[in-house]
Amino acid sequence: MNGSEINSNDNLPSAEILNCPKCRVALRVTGFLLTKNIACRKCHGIFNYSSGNLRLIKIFRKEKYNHIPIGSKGTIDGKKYEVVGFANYREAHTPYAWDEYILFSPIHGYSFLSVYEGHWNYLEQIILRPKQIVNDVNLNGDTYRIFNRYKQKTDYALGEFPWDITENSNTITEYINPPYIIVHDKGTNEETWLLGKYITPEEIKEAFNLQTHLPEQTGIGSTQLHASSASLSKVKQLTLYVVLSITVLQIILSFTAKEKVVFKDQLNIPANKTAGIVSPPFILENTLSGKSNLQVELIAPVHNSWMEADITLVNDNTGEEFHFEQGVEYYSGVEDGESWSEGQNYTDLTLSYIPEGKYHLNIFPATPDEGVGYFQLTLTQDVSMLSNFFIILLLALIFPVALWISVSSYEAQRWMNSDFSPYNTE
Amino acid sequence: MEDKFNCSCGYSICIRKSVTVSMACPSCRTLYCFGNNEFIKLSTLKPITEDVSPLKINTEGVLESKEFRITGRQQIIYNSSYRNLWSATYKSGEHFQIGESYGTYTIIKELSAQVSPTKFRNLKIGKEIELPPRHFFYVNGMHEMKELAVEGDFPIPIILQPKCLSIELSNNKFEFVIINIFGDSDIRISSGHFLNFEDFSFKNTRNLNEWI
Repeated sequence: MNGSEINSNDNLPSAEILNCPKCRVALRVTGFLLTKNIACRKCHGIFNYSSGNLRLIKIFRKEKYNHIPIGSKGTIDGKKYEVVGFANYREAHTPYAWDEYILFSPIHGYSFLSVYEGHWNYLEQIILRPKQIVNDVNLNGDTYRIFNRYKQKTDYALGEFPWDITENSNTITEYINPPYIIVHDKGTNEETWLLGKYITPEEIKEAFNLQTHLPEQTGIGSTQLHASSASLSKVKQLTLYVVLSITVLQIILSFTAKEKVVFKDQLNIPANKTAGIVSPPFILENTLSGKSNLQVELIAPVHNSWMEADITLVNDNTGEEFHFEQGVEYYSGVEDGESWSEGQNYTDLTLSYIPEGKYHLNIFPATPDEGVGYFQLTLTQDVSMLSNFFIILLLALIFPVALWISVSSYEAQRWMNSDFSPYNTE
Repeated sequence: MEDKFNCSCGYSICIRKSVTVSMACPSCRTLYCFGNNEFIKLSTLKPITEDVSPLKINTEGVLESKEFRITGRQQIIYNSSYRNLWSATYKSGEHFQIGESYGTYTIIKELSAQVSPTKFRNLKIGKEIELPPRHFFYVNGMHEMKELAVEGDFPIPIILQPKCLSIELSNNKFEFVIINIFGDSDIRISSGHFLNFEDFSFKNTRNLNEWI
């Protein structure tokens, strides 16, 4: 196949240099046919560019400093660009202003760097149209929530632009899914969808080899990620697994718990207050771990009285002792026609890690002078303990809950700049 | 199979025998179309405007393991944008077009349209429409054509109409449609899909060393 004799220009053209019709300063044109407007650094005039001719559209009254010089070349996401334009926009009828750098590549076309309060986004046109879902949009399965909708006003421009920069009738809608943003620019004859990503000032400096300081960051950027937000979803998932595992383990332990009553007796309180009671011996049976818990229940018929016991569990084989105290009290009466009561006649506690073996109890009960005459003691081996389950559950939830609170607070701050905030920001 | 054709300006143009249907003289920019066993002079067009495209006539590439070569370009200039329609031919002789505009690339084939232009006259940006067979698209551009420039040769006729409304549609499946309404009644629908520059494995492009 060799049917054409056209001799196309093999090299891409160098920038065309024109003189500003107003102040004669040299103006660069790199986009040729693609360039619609050119703005002059010296006289701040913005010109319509067509077929090599310049026609003044307006003159900007204020000048803005561009941190990345026009003509700078840099690489972002592996794509080489030249900075060809710079604009300062303001949301119409508001004081909110931001800067935008127009990047050009003959291969990839135009891309943009947008910076608001020191927070940067790198935006490229996307060909895949996001799906509209009520107020939000979905792209590749990810939902982007509406963040802002506005018309913009151009306060300053420098360099060249592939559209009429002074034409500000388009409606701009921003949707966010940090660190990503989708920008929908809808006009009468055309709509454009841009996909952006948060980019750090350090990345900008590296991309364009800048030695200058970039604007200081204030507040939270619309697409800025919380330092741990990326891991929040992983932590959520991990927490779910941990909670499920703990719950399953607790269910297994509950079903396999022997809950064997090894001692149950009603014991009289000796008249001699210093005398103790020695219980009959009982056996704590072998378990898988060799040790088990032991629940001690004490019931005494107290009424407007109290009873307590100093109890020692003694291993008859080893002499090892486990000392604990238990007590009950119950009071009731009528005061100003209202009946009241406090306390109860029942108490229990659970001893952990008690080895198997033969045991007896040494009990030293105490009551007031008109105290009760007896009490009931029940010892149950290998009981299911819900308290441990809840303690472990609580420990497992501390970090994820703290992280969630931190991320939520961060998100609330982010959305303070939005008219579509899901948070109450009154 | 090459042949020679002498333009009225005296320039001798290489054409592809039995293939070339339209061609533009590289010297005087006269557009010819083949009909009644001869090339008929249609019009003299404006020259191609520099648009910093990485492509050129004779750029080659590979799509789906098939080699192709670009033989012609229609540079369509709208009121506020532009589009290059590069005419490309596989070695097998099969023809297709590559749409190129502001760094986006599409491959396009013309469909046989049996549709009334009135269906598309009152479209608005963002409106969803259905095109057979059950493909849904959104209108994302409506442009009045301002100028057409042509270079190279084409195995298809080039339509010259003073008035053309070009409606661009896309969807969320990388599909793309252009509806061109010429004059009041002539409608041409082309469809295709988006690709990345890298997907074409282009070679013999313009010198892109600075940009790769």
